[in-house]
Amino acid sequence: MILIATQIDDVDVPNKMFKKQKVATRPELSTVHKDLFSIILNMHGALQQIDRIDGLVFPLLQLEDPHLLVPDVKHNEKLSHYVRIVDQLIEQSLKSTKRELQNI
Amino acid sequence: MAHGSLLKEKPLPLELLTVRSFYDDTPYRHLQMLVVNQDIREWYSKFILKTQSVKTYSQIVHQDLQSMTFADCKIAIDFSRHHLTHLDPVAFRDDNLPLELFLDYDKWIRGLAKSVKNLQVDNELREADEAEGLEAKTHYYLKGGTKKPIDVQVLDFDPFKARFLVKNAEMNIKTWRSRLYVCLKEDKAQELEAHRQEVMRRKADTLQYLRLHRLINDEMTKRYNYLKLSNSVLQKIQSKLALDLRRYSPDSVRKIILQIEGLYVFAVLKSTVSSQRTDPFIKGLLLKYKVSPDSPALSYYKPQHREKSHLQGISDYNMKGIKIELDHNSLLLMDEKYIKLPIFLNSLTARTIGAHKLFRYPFDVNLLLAQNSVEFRKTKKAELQAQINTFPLHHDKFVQAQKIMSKYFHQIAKYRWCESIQKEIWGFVKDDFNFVLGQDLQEEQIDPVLLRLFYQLKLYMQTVIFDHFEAALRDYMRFLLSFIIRDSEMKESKIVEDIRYNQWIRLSLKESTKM
Repeated sequence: MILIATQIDDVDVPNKMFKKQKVATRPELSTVHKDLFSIILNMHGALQQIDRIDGLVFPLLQLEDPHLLVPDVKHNEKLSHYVRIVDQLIEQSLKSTKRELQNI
Repeated sequence: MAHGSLLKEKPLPLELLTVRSFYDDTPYRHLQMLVVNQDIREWYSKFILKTQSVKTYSQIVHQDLQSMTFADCKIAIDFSRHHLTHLDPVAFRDDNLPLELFLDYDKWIRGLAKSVKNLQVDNELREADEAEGLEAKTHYYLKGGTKKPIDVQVLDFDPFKARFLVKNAEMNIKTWRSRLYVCLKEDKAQELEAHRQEVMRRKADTLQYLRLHRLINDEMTKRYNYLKLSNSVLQKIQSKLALDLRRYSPDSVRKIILQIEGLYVFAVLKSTVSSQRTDPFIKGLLLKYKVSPDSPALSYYKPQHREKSHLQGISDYNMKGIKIELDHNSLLLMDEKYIKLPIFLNSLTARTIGAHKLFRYPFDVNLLLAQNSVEFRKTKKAELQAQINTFPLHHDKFVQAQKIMSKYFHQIAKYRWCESIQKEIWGFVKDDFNFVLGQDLQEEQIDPVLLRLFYQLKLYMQTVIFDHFEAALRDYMRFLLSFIIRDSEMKESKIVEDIRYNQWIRLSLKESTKM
């Protein structure tokens, strides 16, 4: 799915007929995971600071919170299920890459 | 704390109001005007002293030596209204209440008083004997207890007593009479008689309340002087006030709390008298103070269940057998434009943010480039297409592109969607509701019906953004899942099972079958 670049160099082994390889740059898979998960955080953040209509109609109206409430991911069962599954899917999708790197 | 020095002391810090008692003895003393309102001491003492023949204020407190005119009573009532939450027990020490207090003043007195004053102006240039009055009749009481109607002329009005001066030249009688006993030509005798009976009833009821008041003040408080509000109750009262008491004068706050305490004691003692009215001791007290055991003064106000239709401003509708009740302002919302508002909002939402998504794949490269972001500013269209719309994806480009699209969605929602709704709603409400623009507003100052409309609007908009967020999470999950299920081993994995049987996750039928 995702292209993750890594540099693998050949290592000469003296007096031997075979070559050995080593991973010169190892990708930080945990960072990749975090990046992919941050898409959710960004989507959630995009729903913040959206003004309430009463505050727009009456600009001098004193409101405790002048913005619409954003979906409460922690306390909404439906959303929390989606977030948990997306997290697991990201983890799962990176597993094969992780395995490949370990085999080298 | 001594009573006399109660308010002379420096005001207490507000925090101490609920943790410190204000009195050492009878809290019911705080129902007295001068105990809690020392700032009006001089003025009020003079007023009370003026109403009777004794010389000192303490004599009034301990003896029934007060006789108040109509005007005095009015002043005393006004005093209580302004400074107390109840009637001052020092005023109204006896049963001599003027009947005029209970008359419908506007109907029976005001008009006649004005006519008499006008007549007096006309009579100014006449001799006293020639002065003319308004024709009326009053009752002349004979020694045997009988009465007979006699013709009189109404000559003057005393605003302090609310009585009229009547004269019968033939019998040489000149006396001040209550309006209840002055029947004008245009008066309906039966109506006047009925009102007289009503006034008597009102006075009798009032006396019952006053006598019970005296009974509690003079007898019960001495016996139960340990009654007072607990600190926890005081704290609860303060919290129920839902006000920041620090914003108000500490003296005013203290006065109210003192009176709440006094009224609490009064309520407890009244309850005792009411529930124990058959007890010989209480019975004796009721007899002594001339309070009837079935007096309305001994009963309690019980809030009665009232249908909305009984409230002012509520109209009833019977539509297809279902009773629908709407208050007057709510009728506005029955206007066609408000009924169609949800449809209109849905259409507006579809036009503004309906086509936009929080999660996008594949990306609209043109739209992405139009955002002019730092990351993609120098990237060519074909190159970007290859990086974000062709597999395998460049993970950093993919994440960056999603972030830009989320930001774009935010701008559309905040500026295009919200402002379109605001513009339309303003067009709706500006002519239907009254409000003052250009000054700070609190929510309570807005018409409740308009407030309700705003509340529903807020719920609607929050539902819309919730739906967008849920759809975005679902799309992202599908996106990831579409790669996972390509692996045959993964089809039976725990996570796929979880998705398949999770009641909260909605996937299309097609995808489920494929899985």
